[in-house]
Amino acid sequence: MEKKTRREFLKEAGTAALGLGWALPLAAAGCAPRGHNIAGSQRQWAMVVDLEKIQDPAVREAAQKACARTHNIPHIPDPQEEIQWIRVESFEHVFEDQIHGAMPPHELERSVLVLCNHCTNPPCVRVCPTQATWKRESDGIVMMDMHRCIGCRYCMAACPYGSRSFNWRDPRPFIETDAEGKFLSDFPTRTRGVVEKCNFCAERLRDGLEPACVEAVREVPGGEGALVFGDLTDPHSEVSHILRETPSRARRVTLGTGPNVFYIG
Amino acid sequence: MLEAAFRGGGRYWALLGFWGLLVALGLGAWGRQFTEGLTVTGMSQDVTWGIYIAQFTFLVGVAASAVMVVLPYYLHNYKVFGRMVILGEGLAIAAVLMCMLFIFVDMGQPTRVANVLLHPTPNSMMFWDMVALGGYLVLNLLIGAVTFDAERREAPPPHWIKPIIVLSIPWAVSIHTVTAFLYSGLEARAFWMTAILAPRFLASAFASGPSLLILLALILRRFTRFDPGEEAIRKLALIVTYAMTVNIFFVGVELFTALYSDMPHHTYPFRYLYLGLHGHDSLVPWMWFGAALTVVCVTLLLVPRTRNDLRLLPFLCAGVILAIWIEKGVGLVITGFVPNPLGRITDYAPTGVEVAVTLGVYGFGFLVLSLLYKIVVNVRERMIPA
Amino acid sequence: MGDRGKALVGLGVFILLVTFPLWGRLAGGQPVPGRDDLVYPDPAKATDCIEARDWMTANHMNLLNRWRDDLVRRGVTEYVSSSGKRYYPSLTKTCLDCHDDRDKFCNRCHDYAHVTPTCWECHTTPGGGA
Ligand code: HEC
Ligand code: HEC
Ligand code: HEC
Repeated sequence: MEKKTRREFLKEAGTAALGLGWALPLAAAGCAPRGHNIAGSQRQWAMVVDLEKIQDPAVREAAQKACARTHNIPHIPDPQEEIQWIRVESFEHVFEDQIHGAMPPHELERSVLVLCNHCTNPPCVRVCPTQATWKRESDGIVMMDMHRCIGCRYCMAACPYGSRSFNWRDPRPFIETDAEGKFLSDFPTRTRGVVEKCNFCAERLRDGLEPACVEAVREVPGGEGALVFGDLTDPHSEVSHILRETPSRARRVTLGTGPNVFYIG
Repeated sequence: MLEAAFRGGGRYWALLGFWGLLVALGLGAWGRQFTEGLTVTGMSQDVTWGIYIAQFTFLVGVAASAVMVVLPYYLHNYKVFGRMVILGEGLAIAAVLMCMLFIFVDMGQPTRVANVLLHPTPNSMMFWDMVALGGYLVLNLLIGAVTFDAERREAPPPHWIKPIIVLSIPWAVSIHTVTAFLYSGLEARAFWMTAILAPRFLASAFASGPSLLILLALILRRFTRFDPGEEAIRKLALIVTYAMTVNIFFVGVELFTALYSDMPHHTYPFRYLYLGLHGHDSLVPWMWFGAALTVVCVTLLLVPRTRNDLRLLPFLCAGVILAIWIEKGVGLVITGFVPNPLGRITDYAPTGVEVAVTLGVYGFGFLVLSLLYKIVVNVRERMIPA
Repeated sequence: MGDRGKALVGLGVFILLVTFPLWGRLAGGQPVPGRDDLVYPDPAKATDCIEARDWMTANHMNLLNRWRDDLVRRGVTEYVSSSGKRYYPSLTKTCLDCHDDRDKFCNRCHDYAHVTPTCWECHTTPGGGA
């Protein structure tokens, strides 16, 4: 008799516990950072891309080249291993959710520069198991710590923009060097097995410089203002001004990630 | 008791030797992957997870399915599973070890694996998955060792183990739930972001795991004097039948939602799987084969006469395992990456190195399983009056 | 010898092998061998390291870890040494600016000590040298 009651109890406890099986991950989900406003960061760096101005291939190339040289980005011929911080894609692919059948082909085929959106609510940060990627509170940059990344590529699965690249092999043989075989920059190269992406030139911002791509396009005739960089939380910044005055768009906004790279023109 | 694992006939050693060979093959291949980088795999910037993570997903299910024998036995006092429980726990242990290894071989920086524990991150499902798997391994090792030791001494298991057994039940559910959450929490991947993924994972797990258990039980019956019991096998077959039916229902529910709503991002993956998308159709034969296998197996399982035919059952079980393996181990992971965020489709096929590493991990898992089952069989054979 | 004896011997051998890096270094003699071989910064350029020499010898890896986290994770761009001097916390730009012969300083000593930090897989010498 006594034994039976205990078994009954066990049975009930077990059923209750079965329900609890869900509790652990649900609690975990509750821990996920949320919030779709930028109040979390003291500042938020943002970029405005002028689609008109970047139709000139020289402007796009200047931006890409400056980026590659500043960050020792390798050029790997196999597109499925290539490392991309800032790349060129066609309008119809970048804004797949904003196109319709009546758009003329020249509209759909326009070139667009795409890079990490430094989201306000970044999914890559949410999923990273080691905080190797995180949203920096001081200025909203989605940072990458190459020393901590374990190369699980969960962030790549989570990024809705395809902004992240993994080092499938040692990148060094593919990095541009000068005549003496030296890299063009002191920015640390990467090694096989880590994920990387655009860092909004965090290392240059530290020294009070603008991102390399923004600086580079200005040098190209007609490239002035093709890329504008600034603080979104400052109402007087140029980016805030442009976004107030001009119609703009951003990528896949319905996902709630809060991209901070905007497109005008 | 443990020394039994190292005493056996020629056939036993040949089996261990075979697993050992697979492990050696896998180690060699992994060595190459370690020095050259993951470039030696078929994965790419678009399809960043491949056969490793897919096997991981499949095997978490196998590990979780031990609950299908533990729960009836301990909570409902269903004595028929008495000799089956330890087999289920052994399978769970081997499966969890394989899961951990599959995560490990997938890492770009394996020497930094400790970072997951050095920098615990509660908002990452990957972190929870590691915690859940580690805990599940410890639970099963403890429960298996304690209850088996008691049985060997023909004494009742100590009282303190009961709450731990009860705990292991929700824990089993949670490992596969967290694994599903790993995928279903990603807004970037429409194919995975569905609430039914976790229930679907559990249903398919409760079909494939017990099927494997039946196969193992039948093998033990055939080659040793240890018999887990015909009735236990039949009951497991019934569980497989229910689980497989529920799984079909879940897949159907998902297909309906995607196809009836006809939203491009929800239909693309299914088109890619079953029809091919823009000429990319490498998975199509697999998926139709899996679908046909599912229908045939479920039909034969639903008919009591064929289900209870112990000569037919191993084929049905193998069919179920293969069908679920195709669903989770081939279709699920790769298709999440189709199309990529920029609308492009990249195909994926594992390379020789990847296949070798995969075989190595399976070899290791079955090596552990063989050793564990050998111990169980030895003790059980000794307990049978001659 | 019984089974247990064999197992214990086996275990002993295993532990010895696994801990080889530890006692192997102990057996190597002085903690900082072959100092004569190291190439130090030109005294005209610098006579002191960031912190006291002995402290540096023992703790430079911890200092580097701190610098790394300071600069990359905390956004701290300055390190104040115990003597009050200020440094930019960078491996390439600061350490290697003084220790300009990396191979004959860092690497040589690490060879003696049997450690191979992976830093150089990514970090360059000033001016972009691999
Ligand atoms: C201002 C120039 C300067 C900078 C910057 C500098 N060092 Fe030094 N370092 C020296 C000098 C000079 C010595 C020799 C000191 C002595 O003999 O007392 C030395 C000694 C050392 C030693 C001790 C070697 C031994 O013989 O035991 C180590 C280790 C070391 N430095 C590492 C570093 C590291 C790591 C950094 C960067 C975090 C660094 N140093 C930055 C100038 C510098
Ligand atoms: C006088 C000898 C000596 C010199 C010179 C020296 N190191 Fe070291 N370093 C060591 C020893 C010994 C260790 C290992 C300490 C341990 O493992 O406890 C070490 C460890 C390290 C580590 C940590 C490695 C790991 O795997 O954890 C780093 C990073 C490092 N050194 C950087 C440098 C750099 C950069 C320089 C040159 C600027 C340098 N060291 C110069 C002796 C030296
Ligand atoms: C996978 C590539 C990689 C490896 C390996 C690596 N680093 Fe770095 N490290 C970086 C990158 C990228 C930065 C960021 C540079 C920046 O923002 O200016 C950095 C920054 C740093 C910084 C601060 C900035 C600077 O210029 O030095 C320190 C200090 C540092 N690393 C130390 C180390 C040490 C010590 C090791 C070896 C134990 C190491 N790193 C290994 C990639 C690497």
